[in-house]
Order: sequence, then C-alpha cells, then structure tokens
Amino acid sequence: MLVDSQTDHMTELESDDRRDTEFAGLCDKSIRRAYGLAGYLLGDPTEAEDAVQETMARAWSSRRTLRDRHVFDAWLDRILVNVCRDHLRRRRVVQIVDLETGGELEAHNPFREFLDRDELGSALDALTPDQRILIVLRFWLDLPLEQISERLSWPLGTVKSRLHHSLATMCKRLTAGEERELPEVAP
Amino acid sequence: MKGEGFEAWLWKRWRDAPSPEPSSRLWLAVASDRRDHDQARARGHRMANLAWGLPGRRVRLAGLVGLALVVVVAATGLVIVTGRLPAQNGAKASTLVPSAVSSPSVRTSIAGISWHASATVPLTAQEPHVTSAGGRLFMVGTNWGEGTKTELFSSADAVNWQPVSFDAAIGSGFSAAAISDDGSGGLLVVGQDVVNGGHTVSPTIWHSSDGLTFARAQVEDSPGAMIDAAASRAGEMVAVGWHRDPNGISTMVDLWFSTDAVSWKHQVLPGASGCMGPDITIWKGEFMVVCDDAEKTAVWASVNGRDWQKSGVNLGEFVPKEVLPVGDRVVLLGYLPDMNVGPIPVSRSSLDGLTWAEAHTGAVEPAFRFNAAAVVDGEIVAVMGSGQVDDTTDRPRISISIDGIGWTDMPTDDALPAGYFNASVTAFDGRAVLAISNYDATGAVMAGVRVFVGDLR
Repeated sequence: MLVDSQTDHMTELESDDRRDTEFAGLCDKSIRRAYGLAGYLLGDPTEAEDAVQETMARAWSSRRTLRDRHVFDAWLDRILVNVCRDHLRRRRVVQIVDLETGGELEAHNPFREFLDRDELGSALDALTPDQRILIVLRFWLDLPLEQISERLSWPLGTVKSRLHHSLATMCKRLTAGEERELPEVAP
Repeated sequence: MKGEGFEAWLWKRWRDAPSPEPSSRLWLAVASDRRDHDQARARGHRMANLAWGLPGRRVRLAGLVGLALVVVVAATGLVIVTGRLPAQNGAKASTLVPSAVSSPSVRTSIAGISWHASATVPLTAQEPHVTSAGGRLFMVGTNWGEGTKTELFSSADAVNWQPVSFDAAIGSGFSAAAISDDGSGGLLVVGQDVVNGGHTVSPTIWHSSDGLTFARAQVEDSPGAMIDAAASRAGEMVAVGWHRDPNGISTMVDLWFSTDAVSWKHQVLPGASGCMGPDITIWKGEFMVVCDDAEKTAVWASVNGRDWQKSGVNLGEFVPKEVLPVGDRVVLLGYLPDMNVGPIPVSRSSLDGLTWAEAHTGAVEPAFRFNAAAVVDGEIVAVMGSGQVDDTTDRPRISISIDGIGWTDMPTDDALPAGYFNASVTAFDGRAVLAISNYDATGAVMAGVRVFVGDLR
C-alpha cells in the first residue's frame, strides 16, 4: 500500500509538471498578442511590457484555476485587461528631460506612432479607461461583442451600450460635430 | 457624423495597425517570475515579485537593480554557514552556527566618503555600467528604446568623457550587460545580440586592447544564452551567463573560457539547474561563480576556468547576486526573501570558501535594495536604492564594509542627487566613481548619466 501511495504521488507530481510545462507554453505563445493588446490599451511600450509581465505572473500563480485550456485566451485577456485598467487609472505622465536643453527625448513608440498618424490617438485619449478597453478589444483585437462580454465580465447589453457611447465620444472628438470630415484612411 | 460610418472608418483605420514585438527582456522576465514564484512557494513564501512590489523588476534581468543588500547599521543576527569545498556534485553539508562563534568583525577603516559631481555623460541608456581598464574609465549602456543601441564612453579622469565609436562599429542589436577589464589592460564588453524583434538572443563579447577599437569575439553559441559578467586575469578569461530550456521554466548556467579574448569556448556549469543571473570573480587564485540554483547551493570554483566543482555549501534561503573579493575574504551580496517585509538585504563573508558568516541588519528596509558595489582601496562600497523606478525623492545610500560582516551606512549625502534610479560604481585611482541615472523631483527621467567621484577619508 505504501508503495502504491508513493507511486500515485509521483504520478501526480509528474502530471503537475507536464501541465505546468503546457501552461508555460500557452503563456509564451500569448506574449506577443498580449503585448500588442496592452500596447494599444496603454499607448506605451514600456508600460505594456510591465502590464504583460504582471499579467503573466498573475496567470502563473493562478494556473490551477484554469480548468479548460480552450478558454485560455479569454482567461488571460481578462487578467490583462484588469491589469491595464489599473495602469490607466493610476497613470502618471513621465517625461524625459534633457539636462542641458530642457527638451524631451523621444523614445521609439510604435503604438503612439500608429495612433498619432491622425487624431485617432487623441480621440482614444478622450475616453475613459473602460471605453478605451472596449474600443481596442473591438477594433484591434477584432472581437465579437459576445467575446468582449466574456472578457470584461459585462452583460452583452452593457457592452453594446458602452460601445455606442464610446464611439459617439470619439466621433465627436474627431469631427467636432458635423463641421469636419473624418480623416482619410489609406486604402 | 453617423455611427455606422464612423465604425466603418475605425475598422479601416485599425486594419493596418502594426503588431510590435516586445523586447527579449519581457520573455526572460516572465520566465524569471515563474521561477521566483515557484521557489517562493516552495519556501513557504508568497509570490516574491508581488510581495516586493517592483514596478521596474524587468530591469534586474539586465543587470543590477534586482540585487538586494544592505542598509546595514550593525551586524545583527550573525550566523555561520559551513560547507565543503570542493565536494562531489550533489554532496551537501551545511551547519548553522550561532553568531557567538564568528570571528569579530571590523566594520571599516575609513570615516566616510566625500562625494562630488564630476561630469554628466550623454549616455542615453538608463542603466549605466562603469569599470576601469588600462588606466582609463569606461561607461557602457544600452538604450532599449532606440532599437537596442549600445553606447560607450571613456575618460582618463572621470571629468572629461569622450564617446568611443563603439556603436558605429557594432551597429544596433547588441545589448551590453557588463564591462570588465581583460586582465591585461584591455576591455571586455559582454552581453547578447538581440535580433528578430527580441525573440532571439545570442551570447556576444566585444574586446578591445586599447579601449578605442573593438573586435567581435568568436563565441561558441548556446541558444538563447545571455552573458551577465566576466572575470579575467592575464591569459585566462571566463564569462558567465545563463539560458532557459525550451519549456521556458528551467534554466542552466553557461560559461565561456578564453585565453586570447578572441575565441571563447562554451561549457555548461555542472549542477547549476535553476540558476539565473550568475556572477563571477577571481579569489585566491581561483575563479568563483555564485548563483542561486534549485538546490540552494550557490558556489562553484575552478583553478583554471575550465574544470569546475560545485561546493557543498548550502546557503539556504539566501539569494546571492554579486560576489566580491575583499582582502583575504570573499563576500557575497544578496538578499533573503521575506513574505512580510520584502527582500532583506544580506551579505555573506568567508575566509576559506567553506565557512560563511552572514550579516544582516535589524533595521530592515525592504523598500531599499542593493544597486551596485565595488571594492575601493580595500573597502566594499555598496550603493543602495529604493529599486522603485518611480521614486523621485530619495537619494542613494552608501554602505561600506571592510569584511562583508560589519557594515556602516553613511549619512545621506546631499551631493548625490535625489530621485534615485540606477547606479554603477567602480574603483579608479584609489577613489570610487559612481555613475547614476535618475529621476528628478517631478518624476521625469534625467537625460545623461551623472558621474560622482568619492574620496575615502
């Protein structure tokens, strides 16, 4: 009986190791995608990496709570969105100041470059954190409303409603009512 | 504007949004966090990084911020850890001995350090590394925000710094982790090439005999390996680094040995599974590698840099991050993880590599952590910082010790800037040279690296 018990224990440990390895693989495969999502949510590559790292740490510590690997993406997105929401809410502006000139040093920021190609960036900046999350999930991640609902733990109706208000806010910002046309988008 | 048209515009607008690649540091940090978590859990602690609250914790993988040690007022709680050196792999022997049996310590032979500003070096990186070689000072740093651009400056007096056309020679993509002398008056810059958007790293060493022209060394590859440090004496050079296995969880320590700085032969450090961020030094004629491995055995030694033996020293919970030879002692700087107060800065000191005295302070300040250290004129000069990248008010704290057991912390020095961020320190002409990149009082990152010279008095 003792031998059987030990064997069972070893089998259980080996099984845990295998599951951990699989889970780490899932996380690693998701880093690029998570980084992109965080980047457009936060608009800053450094903050995005911080958020992804924090997300992955939380995910690892909670890996036993994920029972179905098929919903891994939604599960991870939910953690990431929560982390990014926290970042957005406590955001502080940190500037690089040149000691000699007092000017700013611009670091390469591919997210900002894309957003600032026209006034999309400033329109996103006008949104609340939740509105911004909604827009990025919808238009960058290309998620159906139902999946957004899953990730944000909001009822579908709430998603629709908030999306409507978010779009209205952005549209107003971009076009200043009916006085301006939307910027051209390259075909 | 009508909603439907606006949505259509947004779809088009987002259609060509790029998918930027994260840096390699992120991948490494994620793997590191997994390991920290599992180790902390195994040791009965909750998640180390979260407990520590390090918003800039990725930085520690690149170098020094994660090093923890010492705002040590007095050597309280002194213990002795003994082991066998050398020993067969896997053999362990450790003993905790009350502090009463430890040798008496002498904290320091100096009254203090007078710091004065000497220069601002236009290095764009926020993590400078300084060293001296061939009678000159060198400062290197990698700016990750500009396509992994590494810059190098040199100075003969710590006041006047000239750029070395290092970046022009190597192009972009090289990330420097450390610089050190080659044992013959030349300079080694070690680190890794970062390619493919940061997903591929390869160990890289640049060498210069004169500090002006650099040649890329032939380094035997170890896929995914990063080089952290090097130690050299005339005709024998050893670089140390680590890589993770394909599953992203376990890690191995890599060593590279060279006699000419041109060709570096690779080997895996035996019995070092689970190690990351090892350090290396030369002490009493032997190369010594320290690292926190899965078995908590943290010291390896080699008389020739090629044949390595793992010691039987079990350092328990202690996580060594840096090793320094000082006088006839070897001193490990690191920390003890603690779920309540965060990492407790700790040093370990030994006369023989077998028996280790541990020193830690009663005035634990977990928010502070070791940032850099060097031996200057027989004294360990340790630079402490908060480790919090958004800290805008505190100043670097300097602790000194002659033996790694008794520590004296210096009064806060107004000559050093508030808003501490990152630092590197080295010995030069009997003085300490401290390089600091930092935030100002408004939270902005100051451009350039400020250099301070410290006179021991």
